[in-house]
Amino acid sequence: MAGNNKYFMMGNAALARGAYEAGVVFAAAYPGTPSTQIFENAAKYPEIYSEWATNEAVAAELAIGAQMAGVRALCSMKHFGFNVAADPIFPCVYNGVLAGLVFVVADDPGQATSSTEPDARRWGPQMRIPILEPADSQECKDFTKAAYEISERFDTPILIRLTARISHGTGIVTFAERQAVPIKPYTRNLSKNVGMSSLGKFKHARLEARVKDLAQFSDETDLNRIEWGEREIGVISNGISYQYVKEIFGDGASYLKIGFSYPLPEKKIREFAAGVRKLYIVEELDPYMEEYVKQLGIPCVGKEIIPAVNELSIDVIKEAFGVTGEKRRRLDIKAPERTPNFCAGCTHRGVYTAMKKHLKKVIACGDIGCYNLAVLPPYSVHETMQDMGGSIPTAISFWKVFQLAGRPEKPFAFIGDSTFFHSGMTGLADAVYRKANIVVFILDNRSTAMTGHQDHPGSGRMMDKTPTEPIEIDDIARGMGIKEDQIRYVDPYDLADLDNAIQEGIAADKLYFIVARRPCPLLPETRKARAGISCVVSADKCTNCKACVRQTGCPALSIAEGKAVIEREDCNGCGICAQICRFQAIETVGGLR
Amino acid sequence: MKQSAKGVIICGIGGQGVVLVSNILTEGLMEMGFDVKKTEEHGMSQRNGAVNAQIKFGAKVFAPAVAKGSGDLIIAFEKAESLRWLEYLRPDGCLIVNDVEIEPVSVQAGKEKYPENLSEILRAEIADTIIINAAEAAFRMGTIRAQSMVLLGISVKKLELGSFAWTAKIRAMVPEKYQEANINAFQYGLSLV
Repeated sequence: MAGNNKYFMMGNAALARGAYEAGVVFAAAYPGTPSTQIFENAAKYPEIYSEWATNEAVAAELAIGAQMAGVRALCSMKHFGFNVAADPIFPCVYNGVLAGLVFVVADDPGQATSSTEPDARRWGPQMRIPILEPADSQECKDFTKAAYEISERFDTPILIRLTARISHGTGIVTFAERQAVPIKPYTRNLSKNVGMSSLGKFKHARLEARVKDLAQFSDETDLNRIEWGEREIGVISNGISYQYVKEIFGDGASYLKIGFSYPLPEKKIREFAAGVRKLYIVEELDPYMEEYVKQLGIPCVGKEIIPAVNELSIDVIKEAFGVTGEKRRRLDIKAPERTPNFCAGCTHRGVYTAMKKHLKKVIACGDIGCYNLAVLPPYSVHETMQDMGGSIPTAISFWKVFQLAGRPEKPFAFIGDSTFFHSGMTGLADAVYRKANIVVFILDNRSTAMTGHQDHPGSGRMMDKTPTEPIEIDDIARGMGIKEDQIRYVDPYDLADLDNAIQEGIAADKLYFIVARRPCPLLPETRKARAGISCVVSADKCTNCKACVRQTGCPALSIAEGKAVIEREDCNGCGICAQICRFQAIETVGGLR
Repeated sequence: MKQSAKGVIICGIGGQGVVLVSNILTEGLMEMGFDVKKTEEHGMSQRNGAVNAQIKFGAKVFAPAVAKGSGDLIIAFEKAESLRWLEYLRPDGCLIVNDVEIEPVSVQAGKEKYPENLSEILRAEIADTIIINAAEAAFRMGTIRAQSMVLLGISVKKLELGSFAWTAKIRAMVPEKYQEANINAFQYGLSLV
């Protein structure tokens, strides 16, 4: 904080501030990096009703419902989440809105935390949904406020597209007061709020007319801005790429900064192109703007020199333009890789340590969550991972196809609690319905751990940490017709019992449902409950065989001067290493409080 | 094409205080009247992964990220982590290294080697290199967690930002029970340059 209402804020937080200032009353989201903090910050404002949604489609439906009922609403997600949410958003674009409705999608160029790097701007022409693209934290706030005005003025939901560098980038933001936006009175309006073909045939034509109005707005708004400098080089750019080119060329070039990217501003593009000698398009990922400019018949240079994969950087753009870089230092020695790993005390470590012994007999289908790290050494257990909830359907298909192929491996589906609620339930219903002989392994750590411990319908806590009824996943399984003799509970800190459960699963002749339940060790209440417990090494018994270090990969374990050493501040006494040690050199000390 | 803004890179391992120091530094810079931007990479794991924060400040900042060969200062909370960022340093830039080696799983498992004689190599490569065991110094002052403040103290001096009331900022941004140790560690850092 500084004087004059200035705050140093992450783009995600600034966007939430913009929603607050715009009088937003309702927010919904499912966590996903790099979008998570948008909702988390929106939820800090008591004026905004915010609970995590079970998945992005539900979040979108909640937000659409909220504006239908008369209040401004915000719905945020990462790029994968938008695929899930697309189903309700498509008809919403046709129907239009009563109160302002803003969707936010955070892309991940460079794939820091994603398995793909799609370009969400493609949703613009696909859905006919207008798109805004802020280029720093201040714009995240300002554009969000503008988005609510545009949404209500043009009777449309609107999409704000961020990238990880904008979401997680931090800059100075000036605050303003919250607007008082009265709740709009809801009245029954079937043609607007019911998506029935007989009620909606006129809507497509109306939508195309709206796009024309939006195209005119795109030409008029300052969200798309020409900055004249030297006219030898003209650059059309957006988001973080604009900041990069601006830093490289300064006043030595002219810029058309695109902040409203669907529909694109045809007249401004023509005016800009006519005013510069050579036109370049600098954008991350797809040639989205470039294709439009070329379609207008305007010659320009884009993906001929600017990479379409990975994130851009000042250095990448300099190289593309042949701008000489600064002198640099480079040493031949490299820093050792720091591959992601399960934390000390992780409840997944025991499960995958036990699984390693049975790999020849199983095909392990993974899902999205911390446990996806079981793909990597030292575990190397999972063999597949598609998408949220993909583990169970994948296992079903392997069961059927391996039956046909005469292969004996037993399909195991590994899925965490939050992912199960998000989109595992439907797959489980399929498994029961098809009588699939698979093992469903629930890794229930009572939290959406990977994105930073968000609550969900099974965690028993709401956003403000007040209690709510936790839905137990084994109750859902029972409700779906899975019998008691098919359900097995196991302590993920007990290697011997894990081993038994896995063997039972391999031998089972019908669906076997294993629940490994223990709260994530990094949850504050778990830390409190296990404070003072840790494993210790008896140096006289340690033979330096390194089995503990190699098999667990535990970050609390290391070898120093020929002996295993445990960092007691990191260790929570899960005891997996103690169960691995053949020389009884490790024991757990300190009792449960 | 010379950038007017100054560039600082802070790198280390999750849990060492990289983010905290970057927050204190950027808040202070903003209050000093600079335009400031920052970009962070946290990696996927909750702990023990490589973490970095890039900061730019000046009259006007466009991109938060530092271009190669243009950084004024690198603060490495872990020795080998400095290697990932060396090429971002100006030829006459300053390198501050915490004399702490944290071996990743790949090294523990014998698949990779931790670079040897790194302090000597870094000193030979970069004239303005400061290597200090901040962890040990912080431990003497009450908590190893204050190691980040030793490094902040050195950095503030190196960046010639000493006129700002940093101790008040630290007080506002660290938990009460660690405040004294952190401020002592910061002042120790200031005294080293």
